[in-house]
Amino acid sequence: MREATGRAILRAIFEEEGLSIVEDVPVAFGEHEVVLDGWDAARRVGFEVLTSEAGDREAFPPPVVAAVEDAMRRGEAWVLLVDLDPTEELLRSAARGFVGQLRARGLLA
Amino acid sequence: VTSAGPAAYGVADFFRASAHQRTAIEEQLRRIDAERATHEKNREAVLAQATAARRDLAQSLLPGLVPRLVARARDLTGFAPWRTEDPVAAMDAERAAVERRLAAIAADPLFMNGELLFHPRTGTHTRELAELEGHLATQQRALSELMCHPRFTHLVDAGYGTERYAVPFWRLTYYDDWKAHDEIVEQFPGVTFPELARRYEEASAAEQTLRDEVARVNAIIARGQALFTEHAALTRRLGALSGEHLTAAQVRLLEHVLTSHGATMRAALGRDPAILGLYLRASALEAKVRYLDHVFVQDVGSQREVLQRQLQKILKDQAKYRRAKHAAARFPREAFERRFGDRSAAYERRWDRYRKRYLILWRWSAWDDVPDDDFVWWDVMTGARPDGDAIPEVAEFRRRHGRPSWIDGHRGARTRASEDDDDLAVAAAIAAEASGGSAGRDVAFDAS
Repeated sequence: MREATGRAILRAIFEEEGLSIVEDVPVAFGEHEVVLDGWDAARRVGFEVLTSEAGDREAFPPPVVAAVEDAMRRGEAWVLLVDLDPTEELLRSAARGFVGQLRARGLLA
Repeated sequence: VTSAGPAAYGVADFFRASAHQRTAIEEQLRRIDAERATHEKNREAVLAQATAARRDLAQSLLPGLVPRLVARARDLTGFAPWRTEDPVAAMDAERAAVERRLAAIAADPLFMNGELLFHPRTGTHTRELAELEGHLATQQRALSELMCHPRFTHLVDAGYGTERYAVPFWRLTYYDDWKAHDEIVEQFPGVTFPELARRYEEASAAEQTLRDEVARVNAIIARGQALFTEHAALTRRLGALSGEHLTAAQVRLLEHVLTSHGATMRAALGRDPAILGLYLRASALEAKVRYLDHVFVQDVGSQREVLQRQLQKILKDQAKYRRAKHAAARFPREAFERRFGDRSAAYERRWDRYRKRYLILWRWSAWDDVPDDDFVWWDVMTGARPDGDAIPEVAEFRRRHGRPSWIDGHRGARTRASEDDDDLAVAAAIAAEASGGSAGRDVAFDAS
């Protein structure tokens, strides 16, 4: 799947779920600053499509991914990491599942 | 082309003369090929006689492998290795080793109970293997059913549905695994994934156990089969052992007898005139094959290459003089006539010489009529023809001994020498022709 398609799907579903997504937003995770594909700054919820096509593999090397995941474990932010090449169906279901998980865990109103 | 021709020849003359010569050369090549076929046939016939003679000699020298006959052969031929080696003991030792191994195999329970254990339908291990393979197939079918989803083993390995599962919910993989899980449990209504994983692990362990069992029984069957194969081979060996040891001993003895110094061996074997006769026959027939080969190659075989070269040159020159720019070429008379002179007489002289030399050797069979002095078979067969010097063994013998003194008194040699008087004249003519004449070699030739 093209990265642009993936981003469009994720943005549409996140916004259907009530999030206000802005694209290409710089966000700091510890000492690392990354530009996320989609980000709701108020709820600190977003998404990132890790594809080679957009150079994300270089921008998100393992230490940066670890920093983002550490922040999530501390409850500071919630970013859906698209770490494989999905079908559109899987991506839609994952986006809804991710928001559902946040709500189920009381992390999102 | 005649000696009274013009001062120079033209291209038309060249084509006429070269075509004539080409025909003559091609005819010679056909004759050579036909003669080669004849020689090969003759050679096979003499070789068969030589093989039979060797066999007869070997059988007379050593008719059996028993101490008395080995000692007799050793003393008669002076075969030194058998002063220290004992071929009979070597044979007995091998027989004993084979018999020991056969006894050990016969006492092995796998061999002893072979029918009971390995019968193709009723053998204990055969049936056990079939049963195990049946169970294995059942387990493999069960595993195949569980592994119907391509991500099943991945989920099992990742510990999906257990505390071991460590993929966080923010990774897409989490949802991919979830989807796979749903698809899998849909196929097994009422069964949880951890239960399926447990069944899979149990089936995998059972399959591995069955594989190990199948391998164990297969190893036993293979060992049993190896014993039967070895037993059969050793039984065959035991049956053939005496004959093979005897043949090997005869081969060694023959090698010694036929490569030893002739005069020495003749003197040694003279104590048994029957064996001496067989020795002379075998030795002479082997020499006859060598000499026939030599005469064919020297007189006929070697000419093929020369003629082929001449033919190629003719073809090349014919192509050259077909071109318009050479239409007016002129050929100096002397060079032209030297190249295209009639060679048929020279060819015939060479064939005559070959036939005479070859026939002397081919017809010769008086191996019982040899001189008392030392000799080389060429001299006996040909009456010491001088042209034998081209054969290394003859040249070496003559370098050491000079012209054989017995030749004038030897009946067969005298007869052949008288037959050869005109033949020697032919040989001289051919030698002269080879050094200065035109036949049989390329001639420098160019148009002016």
